[in-house]
Amino acid sequence: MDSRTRAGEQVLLAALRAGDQDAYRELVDRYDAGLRRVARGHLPPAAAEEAVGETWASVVRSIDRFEGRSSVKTWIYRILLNTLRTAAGREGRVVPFSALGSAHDAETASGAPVEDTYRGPGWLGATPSRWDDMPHEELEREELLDMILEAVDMLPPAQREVVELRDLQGFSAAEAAEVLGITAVNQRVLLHRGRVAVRRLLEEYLSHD
Amino acid sequence: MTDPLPLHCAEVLDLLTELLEDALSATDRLLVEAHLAGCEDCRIRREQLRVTIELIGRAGRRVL
Ligand SMILES: [Zn+2]
Repeated sequence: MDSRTRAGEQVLLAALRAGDQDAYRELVDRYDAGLRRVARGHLPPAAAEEAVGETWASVVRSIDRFEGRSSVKTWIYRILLNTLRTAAGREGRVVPFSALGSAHDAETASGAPVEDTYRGPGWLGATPSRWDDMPHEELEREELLDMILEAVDMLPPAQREVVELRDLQGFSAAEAAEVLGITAVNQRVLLHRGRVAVRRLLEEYLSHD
Repeated sequence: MTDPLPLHCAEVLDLLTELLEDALSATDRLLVEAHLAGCEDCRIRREQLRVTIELIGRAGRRVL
């Protein structure tokens, strides 16, 4: 955080602690959609909505105890991740969070399909196709962007979480590692595998046009 | 005859995210960049990864 962002956070925090409704609305406007996306990666839609609601309730309840050691954003996302863990436990689901399974996921759980993307045709096996001369309109196509969202949703859970936060929601490496409770190295491994897998799906998609 | 390139293409691919993240040691960075300078396929793969990242970001901005 630079000093201006930090000053902005102090103003925001003071407003939140004073119970300023506009400040809360601003916070919800900023983060609710992103929180929902992460929640839907772990729970069925109704349970995901509930978890996001619980997260906001926790934010309101614990704002006085927030010490400002992390940013407000990473603090809120950490609350969400904890809420999701509890909710997943209640539902008796396997909990695939990076914080719990990342080392495993990075080494093995990503499985054969992801490994194949390294060696498969078009990546290492054959001459890769050029994308830098793709027309601009091609990259703006709704259908292409929908396909990208689907591809991210299909990633193994730990890769998906990292790609979601880093590339889709624009978190920094440090923010993503902090939210997910993983090391910088693990964060990069998962990010790379996820990106490579999305790249492969993108290539398949583009080659069918 | 030119000198053989440092690193194999597979190794370069594994390091592309670290290159983009500025997470390589100075030595590794030099090796990767020397390989890229002499290998068009790896330059294309780097570009594909860059486009992939950009598209994920665009898709995200559309739904957030
Ligand atoms: Zn190469």
